[in-house]
Amino acid sequence: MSDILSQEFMDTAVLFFCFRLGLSLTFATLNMVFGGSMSRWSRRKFLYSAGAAAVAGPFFNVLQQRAHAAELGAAKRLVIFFSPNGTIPQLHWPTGNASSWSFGAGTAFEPLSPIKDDLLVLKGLDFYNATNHEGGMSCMLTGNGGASDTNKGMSIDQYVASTLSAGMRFPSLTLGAWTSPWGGSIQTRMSYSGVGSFVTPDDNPSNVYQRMFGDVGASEADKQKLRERRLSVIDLVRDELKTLHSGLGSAEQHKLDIHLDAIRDVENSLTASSGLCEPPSPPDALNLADYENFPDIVRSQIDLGTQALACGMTNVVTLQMTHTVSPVAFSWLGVNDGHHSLSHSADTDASGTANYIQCERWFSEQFLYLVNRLQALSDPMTGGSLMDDTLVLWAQEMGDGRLHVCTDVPFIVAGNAGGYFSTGRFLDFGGIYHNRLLVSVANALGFDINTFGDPDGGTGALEELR
Amino acid sequence: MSPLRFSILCSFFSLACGGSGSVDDDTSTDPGDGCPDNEVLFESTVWEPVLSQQCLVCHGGGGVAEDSRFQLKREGEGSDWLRQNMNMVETLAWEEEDGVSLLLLKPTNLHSEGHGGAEVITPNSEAYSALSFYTAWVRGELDSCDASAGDACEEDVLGPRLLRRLTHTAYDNTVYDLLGVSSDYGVSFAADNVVDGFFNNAEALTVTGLLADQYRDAAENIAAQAITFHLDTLLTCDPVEEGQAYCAAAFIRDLGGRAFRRPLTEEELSLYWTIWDTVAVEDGFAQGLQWTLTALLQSPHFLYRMELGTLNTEENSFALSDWEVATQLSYLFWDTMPDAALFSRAASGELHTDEQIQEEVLRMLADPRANRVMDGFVAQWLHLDRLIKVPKIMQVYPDLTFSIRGQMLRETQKLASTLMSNKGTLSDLLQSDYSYMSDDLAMYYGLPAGEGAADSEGFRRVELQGTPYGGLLAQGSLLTTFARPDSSSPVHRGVLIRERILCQELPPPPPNLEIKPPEMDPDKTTREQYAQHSSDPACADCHERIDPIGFGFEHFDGAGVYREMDGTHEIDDSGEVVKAGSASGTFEGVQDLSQLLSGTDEVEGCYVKMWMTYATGLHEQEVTQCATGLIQKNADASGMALAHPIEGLTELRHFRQRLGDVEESNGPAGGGDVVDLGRYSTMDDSKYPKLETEGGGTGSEGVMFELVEVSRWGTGYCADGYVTNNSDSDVTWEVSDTIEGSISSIWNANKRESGDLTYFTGVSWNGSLAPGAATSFGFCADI
Repeated sequence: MSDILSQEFMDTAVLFFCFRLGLSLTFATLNMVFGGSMSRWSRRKFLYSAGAAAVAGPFFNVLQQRAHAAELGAAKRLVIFFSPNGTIPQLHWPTGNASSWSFGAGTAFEPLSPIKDDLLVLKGLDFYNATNHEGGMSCMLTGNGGASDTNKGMSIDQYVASTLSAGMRFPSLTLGAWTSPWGGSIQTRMSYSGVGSFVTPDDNPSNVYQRMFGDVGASEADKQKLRERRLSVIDLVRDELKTLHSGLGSAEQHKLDIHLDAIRDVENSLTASSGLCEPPSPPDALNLADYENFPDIVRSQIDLGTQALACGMTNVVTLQMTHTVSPVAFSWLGVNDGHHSLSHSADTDASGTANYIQCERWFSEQFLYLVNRLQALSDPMTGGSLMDDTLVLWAQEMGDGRLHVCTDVPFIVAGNAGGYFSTGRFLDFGGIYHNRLLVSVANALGFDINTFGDPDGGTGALEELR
Repeated sequence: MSPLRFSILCSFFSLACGGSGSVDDDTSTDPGDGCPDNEVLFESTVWEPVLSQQCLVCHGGGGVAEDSRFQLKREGEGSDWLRQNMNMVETLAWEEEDGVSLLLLKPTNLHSEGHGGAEVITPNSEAYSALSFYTAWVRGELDSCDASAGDACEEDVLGPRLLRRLTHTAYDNTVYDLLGVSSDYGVSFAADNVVDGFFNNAEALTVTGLLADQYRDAAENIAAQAITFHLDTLLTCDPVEEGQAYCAAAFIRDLGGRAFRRPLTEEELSLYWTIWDTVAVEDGFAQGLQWTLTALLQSPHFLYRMELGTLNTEENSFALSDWEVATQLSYLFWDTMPDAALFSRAASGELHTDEQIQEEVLRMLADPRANRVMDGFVAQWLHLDRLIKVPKIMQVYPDLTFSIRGQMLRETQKLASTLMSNKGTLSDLLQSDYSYMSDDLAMYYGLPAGEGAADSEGFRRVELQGTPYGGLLAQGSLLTTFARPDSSSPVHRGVLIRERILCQELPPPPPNLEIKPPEMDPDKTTREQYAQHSSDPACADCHERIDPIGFGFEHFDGAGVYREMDGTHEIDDSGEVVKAGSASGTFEGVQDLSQLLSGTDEVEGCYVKMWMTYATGLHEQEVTQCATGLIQKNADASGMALAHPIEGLTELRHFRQRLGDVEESNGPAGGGDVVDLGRYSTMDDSKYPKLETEGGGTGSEGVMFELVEVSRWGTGYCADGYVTNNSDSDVTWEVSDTIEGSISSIWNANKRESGDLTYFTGVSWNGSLAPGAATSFGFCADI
């Protein structure tokens, strides 16, 4: 990266900072700074290629890849929201047909009514070659892909992250609430960086805040000095890893490969833009061991994740609410049994089903809050709503939880992904594999692919979403 | 399947049986080769341990896979049920895809058409070994019918070379022993991956992006704290007298060697010295050291403990270095870096023979730090690490505070650790008639407080004769972890016994079987609510193994407290353990169950197996299976001493040698002679900022004072103050600073306020500091 570009970038960053503060800068002013009219892409390139020179190469390739594929969407951001343990079908699903439909009174998704027109509620999607809690959790975002498939075993969020967030502080922010009381395992992880490699969610809002805003306040000279020293440590560690690597067997070499990737992530975050906004006040320190703090943790994580998007720190955020088989008890709703136990309530068990749906409605309220926040926050580039160019996906890992099946698994898309999807509809696919939904998500974000995950899970996007 | 096809396969089988010399139509006759008859072999090697437990639930009549070709009969379903099952399994053993038997491909979900029940048996598991053995036996590929794993390894086998990333607790312990800095950075790092309940699996512990960033942040903070407050103790020379460049090199050689747990090579020393040099030119000697230490703490040689060794071409294996053996010992027994004695033995090359290692094992087991190995094991073995977070309804269990939960865990850890150091056995642990409790915890259980002296955590020995408590299985920690948020749970408790005490893995419920927990009905006892499990055959196959054990715990509620009645109902805590070999039988209540399980091969074998997983960081590999068999066999006739598995492990070849491909090369070159610092002693120091004598902080003459914020929330924060006497004489110290907010609590110091300043003085034991001595105090404040 040249010094000149760096300086220009600094100026730009300052301007956007002012803009976000509500000073009377208009787009005309911005365009003058940039030297005339600009396409959306070049603005983005200008901003984000200001990171390490190394990221420029893949980024330009992606631009070209997008440019020639007319059928692709141009949504910029992906947010994935997860809640566990499956459905009680008659109390979850809306009724009606694609265009004339409604959430039944008292049902799980009814709290989403205020944003009904912004949603695609998708029924009739099955997982390919997966059943039960563990199978569902690992298939949900990967489509059961392997090393030779399009996604190389990555989950959809990780597959798009390095491209969508090129040059930004974080390729993705994987945030969670109560994902790890049992440690990391196939039950408790949904994001994969490769076959069998989990991406660990950060369950601690204070830690997330520190990662996002920890360096704010230091002088530019001090920041530069700190950056150089950190990078020199990384160089040393990388050399040591490589030397150690050469004499080992393949299993231990793989371990060091993961470490090398991790070091590169740290390096990228040190050299990328530190973000374009003023830090909000830090989240309250909470006792993370007390599940009664679960609602506050969820709220903080949604606030921080959406703030990171608004600050241009990343374009991919995952929000994982606990994990499959989660025993969290929603005592703040007066519900005294664990979420997983309740998910097994038989249709005849009026109290069990009512309690479960109460918990599920609470998750709907959190999803509504997430969407409302994205609608309220401004895109640092366009000044419009963040939601305009964001694809939000609520994913779950099972269909009917009582049967432990991964058929008829509910998915809800919020936002039209920059005009790519036609929202306000309830679609029933009647039992096809959800791999094609993952293809649609990738297409909406500008990725020109036909399969995602195991190719036997289906080819082509779900055209019905357009 | 067509009858024709079946008969063809049968004839194949007959040929094969002829080949292996074991065919005999009269199944009651010993064929004369020392092997049991076919049905007995089938029943003991695969039916009882594997198929009846993992496959029958779906492939039995009424199961979800009853339409598949593979059909199994339940025990007693017709007079010929066992032989019919054997024939069915032999058929499958002969079918193959790409040369591999379907008996192996199907349950592992490796068949090209998949397996309806997905993966129910993992390759490398004991169940898989049993199926492999039986397949080979059926197909006439074996000379011996002996399937016992223990006998297959009279010469114990070697495991793989490993890089074992420090666990988060080991990280904190190591930082403290290396630098004198108390660290809780490790335990706040992102949760690690867990394998079979254990957080130290060598393959699962990796450095991900989030963790690398957390390592970076922790290293920077720890290095700042160490260099600021402990520099005097870390330096081995005087930079003013002996030169900055030289002194920095000595620091790197000495501290780096302890951080890497082996001497640095000349090249490594030079690389780290360059970091010091670059920073020191700009910001001086101490800053240079701080960044050097920051780098050391992120090095793979610090973060991974190496079990790599040097190739011995004659034996075709890698011999671990004395430094690597010292490291294995210290992390195994003490969960931290080697102490000076271990380093010294390694440096003089006296830590590779069995005798040398055993001397250290005795010394280390006698050290109080050996509690750490049992504390860690018992928490992970029994999943008690979940206790602090297991959801409980406050209105139902108002007395179960977070403090009580923490004390429950310590109770179990103290009981197990104390018994281990007193050479107690597993049976002693299962049947102990005393425990260790704080007075609060005793009161929580409704017991009188103990009478002896309290330990540093306020725990005393409490006698339990004549009470319903006593023994590992009646510990509050376990009873609370394994229960529902608002009630007991026979299922959770039964599964714990099956999976963690008997090492019998239970299959997940089959898909499409509607799993309904009992509806809460106040007119029924808990036991009656679970009755459907035994009345519905689809449930009964698994739940007959689970619920009748769990019913035995019904006198303990969901928070570990004894109850006479279940609501308004009498409690029936009779139970039965089925299909568990010599551990099978009926019992009345937990104490009786503990007695039934004590001393059985099944329970002792499981205990050793769990230890091997924990101690080697390997899961179900040949080396752990073999070690389990050998160590169980070598146990003292008087019982399985609690420390026997780890002592036994240190005697195995695996502790000193590793398997390796000869294509691989030796581990890191360090571990030779201590590097000579000659070239650093003649360097010109004039390019570095001149060193000033430290001291003169805000306060007493020659006293250095620093405040460090340790936590902050919306309405307050806590901070630690560090005071060091840098003068040449004793000092009664007083320090001051501007303090944000108002101090709500303070420890290890007194305070007074005057104007904008708050003044701190020490308490009785730390008010006066000798030259060079340091102390710390802490406070929290409201803002």
